[in-house]
Amino acid sequence: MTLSSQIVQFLFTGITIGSIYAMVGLGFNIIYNSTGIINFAQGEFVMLGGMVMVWLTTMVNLPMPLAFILTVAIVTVIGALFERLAIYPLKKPSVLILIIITLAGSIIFKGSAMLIWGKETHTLPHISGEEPIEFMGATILPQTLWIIAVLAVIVTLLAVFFNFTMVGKAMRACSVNPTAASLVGINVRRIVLLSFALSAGIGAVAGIVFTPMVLMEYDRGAMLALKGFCAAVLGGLGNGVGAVVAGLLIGILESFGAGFISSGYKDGIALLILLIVLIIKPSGLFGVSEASKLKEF
Amino acid sequence: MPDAILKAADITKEFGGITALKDLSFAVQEGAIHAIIGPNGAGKTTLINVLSGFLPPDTGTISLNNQVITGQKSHDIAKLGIGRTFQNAEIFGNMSVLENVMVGRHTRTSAGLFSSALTLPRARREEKQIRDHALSCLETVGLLDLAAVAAASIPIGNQRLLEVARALASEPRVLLLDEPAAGLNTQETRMLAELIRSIQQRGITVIIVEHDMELVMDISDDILVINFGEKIAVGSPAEIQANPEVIAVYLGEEG
Amino acid sequence: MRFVRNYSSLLLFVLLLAGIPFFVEDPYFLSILVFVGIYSIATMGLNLLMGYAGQISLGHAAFYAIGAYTSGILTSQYNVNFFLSGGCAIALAVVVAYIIGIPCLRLKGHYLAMGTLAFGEIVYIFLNATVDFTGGPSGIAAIPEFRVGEFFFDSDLKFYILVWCIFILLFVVTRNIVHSRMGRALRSLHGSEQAASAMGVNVADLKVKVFVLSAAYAALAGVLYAHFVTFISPQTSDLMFSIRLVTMVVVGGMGHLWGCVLGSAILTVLPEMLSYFEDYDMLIYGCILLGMVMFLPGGLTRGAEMLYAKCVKKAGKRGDA
Repeated sequence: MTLSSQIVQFLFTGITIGSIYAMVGLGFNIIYNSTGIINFAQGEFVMLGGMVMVWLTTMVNLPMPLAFILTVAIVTVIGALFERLAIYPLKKPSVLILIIITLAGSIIFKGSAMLIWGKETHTLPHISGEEPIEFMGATILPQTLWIIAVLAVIVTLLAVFFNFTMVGKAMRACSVNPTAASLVGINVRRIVLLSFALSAGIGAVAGIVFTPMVLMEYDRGAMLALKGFCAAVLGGLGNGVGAVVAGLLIGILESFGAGFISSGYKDGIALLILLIVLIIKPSGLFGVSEASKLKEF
Repeated sequence: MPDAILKAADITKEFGGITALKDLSFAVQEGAIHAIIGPNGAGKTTLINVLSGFLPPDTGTISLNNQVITGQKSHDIAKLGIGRTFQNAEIFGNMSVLENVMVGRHTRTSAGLFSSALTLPRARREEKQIRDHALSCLETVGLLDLAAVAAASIPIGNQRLLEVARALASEPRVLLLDEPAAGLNTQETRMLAELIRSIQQRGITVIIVEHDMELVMDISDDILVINFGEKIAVGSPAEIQANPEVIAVYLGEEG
Repeated sequence: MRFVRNYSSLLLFVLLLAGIPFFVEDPYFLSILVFVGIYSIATMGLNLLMGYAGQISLGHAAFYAIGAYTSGILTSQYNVNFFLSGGCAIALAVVVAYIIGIPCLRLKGHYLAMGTLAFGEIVYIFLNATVDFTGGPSGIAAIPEFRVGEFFFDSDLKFYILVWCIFILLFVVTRNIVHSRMGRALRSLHGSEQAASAMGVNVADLKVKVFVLSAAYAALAGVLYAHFVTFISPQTSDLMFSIRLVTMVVVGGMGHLWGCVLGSAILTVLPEMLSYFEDYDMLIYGCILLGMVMFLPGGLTRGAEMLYAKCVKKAGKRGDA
């Protein structure tokens, strides 16, 4: 392999994992924008997406498309239930309590997944085979293209949702000013529920397309959540486009770091980026100090 | 005529293109009760936040006793002698009423983590002084009976008084009161007026932002009227009540 | 007399601790109590941060590990004196906590949680990856037992006494802090950062201080752990351990000094009693954590206080009638 083909290879690997980080980052932003909560269970939705899909396709033997829809539906319901059962009943919770609640949720999801599906890793067949495509000396799996395509679709759908539908606009209104939103008749509690459902759904999709590439196991969630949070913070917390760009950037940096430095420190790279961003520019690359003004997609 | 203790010169503050305060200048006489009034959204609370260091002004200077304090952190400004209360009664709900006031002594005491950890005699002496002073502040506002009660459980009227006691505990030279009468009934408001006068008699300058015009006209020595962040008028209660521009602003708001 | 009144619960507790070895012969049970003591020290620090200042750290396992590894490596490989190695371990944790705390604590709420979570993972990755230095995944064995001069703490009983003496010393210190000017300032942060700042409390500075202090407690606990178990691996300080410490604080009671002992005791003894705990531990910890914050946010100590107050009231009413 020449250096240039190596670089192309790393670039594509980076974009693949970066797309997943971007999706998790988007999930963080959706909940953050409507509630101000950082949902520590965000990564578990990805894990659940992968696990439920594995279960439906290999154990229940459902065809792919049906399993896909069912998986997203199931995880979405789990996200909504989590909000209704654990967040909704609280009256004026402090940030500390909210962190503990979502943290508790994340280990409950993780522990349940371990009991249901065991500690071993699971995999899924690639959507359109594993025949690699040659591109500038690098080999790319078709699944990579699927992942990029799925990210593109999600971004487009979200953009349409937030800019052109009543519900989406209501969610944006809530993020700017919940009090004013409730005054004009928006049901803020329902928006919160919706945001949890929506980001759980996105997490599930990410888990489904991601699992064939990397295998899935019960304790993947925490690291995915951290990486996704890196993306959200680097992109400016609450900024959707920022999260996508930052997610891809982190994925690429990580892939180059693993390739050129050492794969043992691969996970450390994103975390180091997070700490550096927090130290140097906590508002992120695309955030201005009054980031709340840019909370739209 | 006594000197101005607090001077603001050409204060401007913008939030993402919206001007909350514009070239605002005024002076507060030492020992006076100085009211700041204006319609909703006039920038009164922003002004309080700028004066107490919670928000840095974009331009302009603020000086306390001829010393420029612009740009200093809020806790340093508290140390220099500007105390304040909050529009929505920011009490420490996780502490008792007495402990709330004891926190007010923070700037006037010095025991650090180390000397507190070992309970050095100096720290113990200081602790007693803090307690005694806090109790006397509670007595001033009439909350002595509630000293041991959890602060979160007392009614809003008492919470506002508690905030005043807490601010008094820091022995401020200037006390900023942000809508202290909001949520109080007529009798409580009357007692608040008494309290503010007694604070003035201790030689503390009071700056009060308030919607209750009766209270403002009753206690103030000077009144500053602002609208859309700009100064409209300044003067004694009688002058303000006769000022056509002020009347227009208020009638405009109601109409 | 005032001493007795101020410290009555502590005196009772000391009597209880002193009595236990006379009735308990089983070294296994004593060793569990040693662990309770070690965890109590770590959670006491974390409680200062969570219960009093209202901040949260999800990386305290990392400070625990820094303490354990530093002292373990220095004593086993470089023959360093115990007091020096322990001092170095705590000093290192303090320096690292400063570096992590300053950027994260400038910001609000969630950043410290995520920042410390990331930091914990970095330490975990580092401990696994640097095989030459930390022994990698297999850890460090043959860490010498604690000794002062020629006196070896080589039995569970001796270590039991050591750990609980340190605990009581720290308890008195912590209690003094909590009831002092600085303790009130800490709690004021939890109540309202804005108002605290208006009262002249340097919010950012105080948060960093308490974070660093709590890291030092965790590191000390780690040092004790290393020299008690004489073995340390990355497994003892993973994310789940951070969460376990948080759960201990929540169960015992945030902002209650005795909470740390109660929480540590329950969550150390319970897994030992339930043999199937191992597989279910995540689920159980998750449910306990969720149940506590939703239904008894003050923890068991507050719950007991409330129950006691209710009983007293009821008894009083009966007396009136």
